[in-house]
Amino acid sequence: MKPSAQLLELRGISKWFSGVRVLEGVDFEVRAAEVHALVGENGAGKSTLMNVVSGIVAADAGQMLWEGQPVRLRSPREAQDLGITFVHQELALAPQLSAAENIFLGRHPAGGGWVRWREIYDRARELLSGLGHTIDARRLVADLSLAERQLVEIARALAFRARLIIMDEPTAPLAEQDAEGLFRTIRNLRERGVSVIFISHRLKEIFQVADRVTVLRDGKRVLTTEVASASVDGLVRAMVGTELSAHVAPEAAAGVAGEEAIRVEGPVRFAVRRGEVVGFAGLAGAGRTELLEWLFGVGKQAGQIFVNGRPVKVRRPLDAIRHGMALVPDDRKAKGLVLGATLHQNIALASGRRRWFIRAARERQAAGQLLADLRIKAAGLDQRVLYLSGGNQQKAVLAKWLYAGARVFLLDEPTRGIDVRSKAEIYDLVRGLASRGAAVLLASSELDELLRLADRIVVMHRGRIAGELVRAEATEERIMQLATGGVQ
Amino acid sequence: MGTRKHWWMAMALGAAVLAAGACSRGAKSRKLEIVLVTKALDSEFWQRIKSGAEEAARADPGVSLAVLAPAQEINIDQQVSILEDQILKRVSALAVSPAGVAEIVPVLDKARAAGIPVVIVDTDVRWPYQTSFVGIDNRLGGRIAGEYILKAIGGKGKVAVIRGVLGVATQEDRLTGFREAIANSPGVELVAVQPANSERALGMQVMENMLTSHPDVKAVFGTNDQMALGAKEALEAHHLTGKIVLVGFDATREALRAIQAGAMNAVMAQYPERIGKRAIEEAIKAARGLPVEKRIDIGTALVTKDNVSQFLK
Amino acid sequence: MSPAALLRRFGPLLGLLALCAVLGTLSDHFLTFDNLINVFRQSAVNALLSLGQLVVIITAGIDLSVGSILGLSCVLVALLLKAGVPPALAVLAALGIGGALGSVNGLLLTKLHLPHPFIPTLGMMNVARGLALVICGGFPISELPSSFRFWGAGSVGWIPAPVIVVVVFCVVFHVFLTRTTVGRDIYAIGGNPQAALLSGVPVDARLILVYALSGVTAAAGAIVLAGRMNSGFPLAGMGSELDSIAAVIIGGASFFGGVGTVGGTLVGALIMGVLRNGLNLMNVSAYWQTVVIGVVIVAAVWVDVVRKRAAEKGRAAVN
Repeated sequence: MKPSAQLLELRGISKWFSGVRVLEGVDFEVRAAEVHALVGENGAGKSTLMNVVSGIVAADAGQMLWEGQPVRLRSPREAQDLGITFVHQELALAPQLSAAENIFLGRHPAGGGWVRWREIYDRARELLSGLGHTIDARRLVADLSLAERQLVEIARALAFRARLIIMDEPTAPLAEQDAEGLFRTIRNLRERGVSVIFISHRLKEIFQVADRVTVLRDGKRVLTTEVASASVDGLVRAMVGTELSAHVAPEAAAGVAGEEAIRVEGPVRFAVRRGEVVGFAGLAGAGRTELLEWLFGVGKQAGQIFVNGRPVKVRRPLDAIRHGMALVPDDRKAKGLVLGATLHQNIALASGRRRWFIRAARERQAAGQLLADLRIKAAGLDQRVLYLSGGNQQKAVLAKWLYAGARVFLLDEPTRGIDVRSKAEIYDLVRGLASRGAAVLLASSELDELLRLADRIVVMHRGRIAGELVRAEATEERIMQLATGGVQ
Repeated sequence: MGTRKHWWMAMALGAAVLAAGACSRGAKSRKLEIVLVTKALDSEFWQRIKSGAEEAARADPGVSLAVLAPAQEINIDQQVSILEDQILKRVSALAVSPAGVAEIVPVLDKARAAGIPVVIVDTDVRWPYQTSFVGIDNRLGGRIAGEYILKAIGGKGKVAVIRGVLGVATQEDRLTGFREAIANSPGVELVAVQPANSERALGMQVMENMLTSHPDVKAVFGTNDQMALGAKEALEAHHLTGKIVLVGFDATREALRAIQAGAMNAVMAQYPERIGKRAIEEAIKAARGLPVEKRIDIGTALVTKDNVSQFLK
Repeated sequence: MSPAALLRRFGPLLGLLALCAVLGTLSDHFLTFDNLINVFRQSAVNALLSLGQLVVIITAGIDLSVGSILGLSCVLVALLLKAGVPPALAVLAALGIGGALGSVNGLLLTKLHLPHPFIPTLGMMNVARGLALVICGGFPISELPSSFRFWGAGSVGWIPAPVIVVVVFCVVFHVFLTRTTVGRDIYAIGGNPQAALLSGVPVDARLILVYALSGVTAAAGAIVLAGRMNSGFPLAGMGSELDSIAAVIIGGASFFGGVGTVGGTLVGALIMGVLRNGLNLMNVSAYWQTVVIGVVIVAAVWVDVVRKRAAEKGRAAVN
């Protein structure tokens, strides 16, 4: 086989989801025995493209060639039969089975209806040691570390004679030395002639492990280049788009910041003053959600919280609420709302816990006022929130906290999955909160949103603060550099 | 609010239904309605009582009989509800085999207040107003079983009892009779009295445990056949059939065949058909206002290999 | 209110009315004043258990131990009475014991992080029944003082005392669930425990309370039953946990939590009582009664599912 032969070629792949074009004429090639990195911001289309390659979704237009032959994949099984395996972010292993059983799951070597256990264990051991690791093939997957489980997945791919392995952010949950081990495994695969598509948000890693890199932006391919001739800055520019990088929101000049409202000391340290919006940027898994939830009394983390300059103990959400905090969680359906309950019940849920009897008339009056103030579109206070649109649901979460009289707002991805108009209204609301003296902590994956709303931006990387940028010096490139662990 | 409407509607419903009920008390049929309420109908014993009762009812064209029971012997409150509902219907007479001897008394009082005669069947209760009791003398049965065992082991050695649910009068009486029989034999030692809830599987388990804890036990008395048959299985599994004296109570067909085969030594025979038949006959008499006997002992008999063929017919 | 909403709210009640009408035509004895009073009295114990079960099911939980807690409370209250404790005090003590046993369920669930309420309450179901049998050696404790028996067998005018007990409990539970902040918390926990926690609901404390309340209603059922039978007996309430669950579900509550009303549950308990009574009057065997009740449970929930699906379709058509 010629070293430069194309293993996989995609020509003009397009895909629509409910009227939105998520991939637009994407060309993409992977050579045999190549590690090809795929990067782009959230929503750039990486996952969809890989789903097309692995047969999970069908493209609406375009052609796929495998070793020069046109192929049409109708299921992941067909992709596997060709030699394409997807190692997902959430590993698809059965925790109560042994490593060996997982490797051969669904394809046990069997004779006459009997499972040939000896052969299974022998071959599993062979595959694992071939990857340069010693894992006892008889151990239960539940007892393995994350890095070891990834290895089992890769061995499983090899057991299916994979020629191309897709890894979706495999290093996101790993500690640094485990990531190193994974890179060794990837190089080992390349030496055996297996190609790897490697998706990562951490640009540094690409320079450690990949041969070539492709950048997607807004469903289009903007760049494919040899890693040797690329730079972090160049990749970031390609991901963000040069025309966007010039954009710094001129609107809503910073309000006059007042006294300190909340401060955190410990491994993570920062402070937010009244009237201030502080953005929290970072890649998926950088620890923003964990930080906000910890402030709100969920989960453990090292550090001391100060509210209005006084140290406080927050053991549960009720404590946080009593100190004036409010959490708008990242997943409003799972954590923010009681979907089956009415707007009235949801809005009142965080308040009035100090008294026994519900003061229904008073509550309804106040909640009705909030409905009007926040322009929540609903049939009335007795409408169940299940039937509201995403934007109106998110406003209902905010209404709950306004009714509870919160003064420190922890907003986690407040505009995720919300239409453009509601998004703008929520932006107004956030600025409005700050101008009325509330302190706002705003975690968001949308850099544009942070640049528009935040007075300062704290950038997180692997659970730590990688840097802090004031509004004037913040650009998408600088944020991405810090967020990907690049040098400041 | 809607929930309040709910309440109003519920009240309106209640009122309407009560009013309707008040104007429509039904007329009674001319046949005598006799109802037999047993503890359950899930074993050969109760089914045989039932068939005896039906025989008695068939013999009298002026009688209609219903046989009812809770789903299991332990559903005492269900039996009480069944009785309440029958009392409400003003049936002509009741025959009752109480699932709980104390728990049943208040509802019997209700029957008395409604003027319904009550015949107690199989299990006696401490209630002075019963029209009649039809059953056997369980204490005597227990004593006969004890005396048989005494003779079979030659008046000395260890013996054990596998008994039914605690607190059931028939079971207590059989045990009391058994104890009386062995009381004057200093050579006989009662080493264990273990409950097995009248179930076969538990009987087997209890027997196995006894063989471990008292390997030298000479005889075992199961206070009903199900437990005795369970013990028989355990003995067979340990190849001890015939080496340990085994006596049951009830004389089910299975137990009789076991005696014939030599796997059990004896049972105390009851005559459930006779009990059921006699109970209904007395209930009919009481319903017609005829004199009845206060206490009717149907009698028991010891069945051994010698006379088993008579009972197997 | 729209016809669909009316049907949803009053569905179980309509079912009860229809059932009464049918039984009335089938049996001359059914629609009599005496019999209806009789039905109310027979349904009282299940209605009480169902109220506690309702509160538990609203939190998306289940309490398998109510029947056994009833049994143990039944024996203990009889022992207290036999020991000469004044009936009023014995009644309070029994309610306290029931509440304590229930709160053990709640503590096991929340503090030991047992995976599902099924586990701690299944454990309690066995422990409480076993203790009841052990404490009284399997024998019923009978001949209770008449002032105590009032709660099960007495009446005020023509209204049986158990019915009065049920009405009082219903009113208290209705107000508790719909008018208090704690009641609202309980619905929120059933609707979405995560969101409830993040809205400041002390979820663990509420769950402990919920299971304690279920224990209290079980003990109330024990008092009524002991009075009715004039004895504390260890087999009291065997299998009644399933009857209480059935009543709650027939009454329109959802196993997924967040939904359920006191009125619906009361109607559910009455439907079961009316069914059993009507079938008894027609001399239908207990085995067939079991079959009928099983069918009714499934049918009630199925009707609910069909109705919901129709409602969803209607909504989709509007949008």
